[in-house]
Amino acid sequence: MYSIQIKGHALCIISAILIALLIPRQSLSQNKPMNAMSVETLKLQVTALSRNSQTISSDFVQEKMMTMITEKIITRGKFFFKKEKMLRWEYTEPFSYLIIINNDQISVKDENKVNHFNVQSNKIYLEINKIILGSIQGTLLNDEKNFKSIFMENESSFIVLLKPLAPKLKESLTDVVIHFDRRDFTVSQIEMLEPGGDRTRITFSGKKFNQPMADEKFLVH
Amino acid sequence: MKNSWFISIFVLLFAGCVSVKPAKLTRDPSQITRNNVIHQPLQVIPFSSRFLLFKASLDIKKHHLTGLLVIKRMDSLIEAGNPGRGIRPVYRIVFANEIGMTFFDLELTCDSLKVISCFESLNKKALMKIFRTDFLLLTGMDTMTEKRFYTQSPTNNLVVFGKAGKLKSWQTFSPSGDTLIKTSGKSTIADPVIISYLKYEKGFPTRITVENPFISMKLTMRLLNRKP
Repeated sequence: MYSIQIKGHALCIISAILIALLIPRQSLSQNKPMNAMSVETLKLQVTALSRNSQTISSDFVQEKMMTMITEKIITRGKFFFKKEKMLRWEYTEPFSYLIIINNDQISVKDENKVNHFNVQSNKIYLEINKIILGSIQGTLLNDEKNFKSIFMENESSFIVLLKPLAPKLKESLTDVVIHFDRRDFTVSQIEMLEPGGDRTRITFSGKKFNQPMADEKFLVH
Repeated sequence: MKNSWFISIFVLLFAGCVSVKPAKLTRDPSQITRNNVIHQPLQVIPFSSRFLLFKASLDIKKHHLTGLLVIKRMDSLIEAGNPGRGIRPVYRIVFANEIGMTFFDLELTCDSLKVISCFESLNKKALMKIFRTDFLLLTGMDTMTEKRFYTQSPTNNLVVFGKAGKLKSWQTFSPSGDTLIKTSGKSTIADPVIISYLKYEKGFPTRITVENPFISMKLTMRLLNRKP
């Protein structure tokens, strides 16, 4: 019995050492800092992609992870972008909710109730607009006035960690993490971290570029 | 100075006028029968679930906030502050906009409401006191005591009055006593609340409205997901 316990302890210790050795290596191998040249290449590629993309459409899955609550809130929807500043952000599951940003006008359709307002008049949407459009257009990567950027990479992604500098934005977000797909420099994931520890992760899939897209898509009826 | 006194008195008089008592009540003499119809504990009808997810909108003064509201009964239990109230659950209440940014994250026990995080514009002591009353009543944290039974005309609804902790509360049930239609209550003249339970599906209300007439606040909730 005693020897079994010792064996058990030894096994635990060995496992712990192995895990301790493996996890840091794995996390290091997952995300390592990018050098200045790679950062410049990323910025140039993202800007070039943005310049050449007249329209983008994609499906998305949004997961909100809350501290102390094991259940994730998962929502799904579709996203459409048309140059210069037209965005359709549509939740389809488990509820229907539509946000349309057409230049500086925001329209929100919530259960058949439609509201229109100016993007400048709503601070939350103003920030969301900046983050989503800025991620797609790559302008956030150069926004040194509002964000401190940390560039990392792993086998599948370039990862840009943006730390808000503006005091107002800092109150609601501590970090914005943008994942760019290594293969095509498109945004594959945006993660928003809040001061309380809550996180929202938006993962994009089925991205399509430069497909015909009517302006009517950015109108609310 | 005179003006401020006048305004205070006016506000107090106005607040005193906000009644949460259901109208047209007649004291029900058949209390024993009624007591058997409505099983204890009354307040956990319908909030017997561990996890509730609502699509919600909060209208307060000129602000209109929409998003998702989570009410989660945590695994931990705590001893109520006052003796005799026993062990009570702990709830976590999170309201976030559709994009995921948290408006407020609150921890509710029968004795306190702890603000985990909150948008600065909402994080006011007076508002949090009102939220506490709202969510205490909504979650039915305290068992109702000193009950009195009434019948409401012309609906013949069954109305129960009682004390739940510091709250004086009214509960309106269907005539058969098996469906909760409305609860209302207040602990002070500043926090009256009326909660309506609508569109029952499989014994659970899929629409809930929480109204605070004193500050013209309305929380509208539509059930999206429920884990028993």
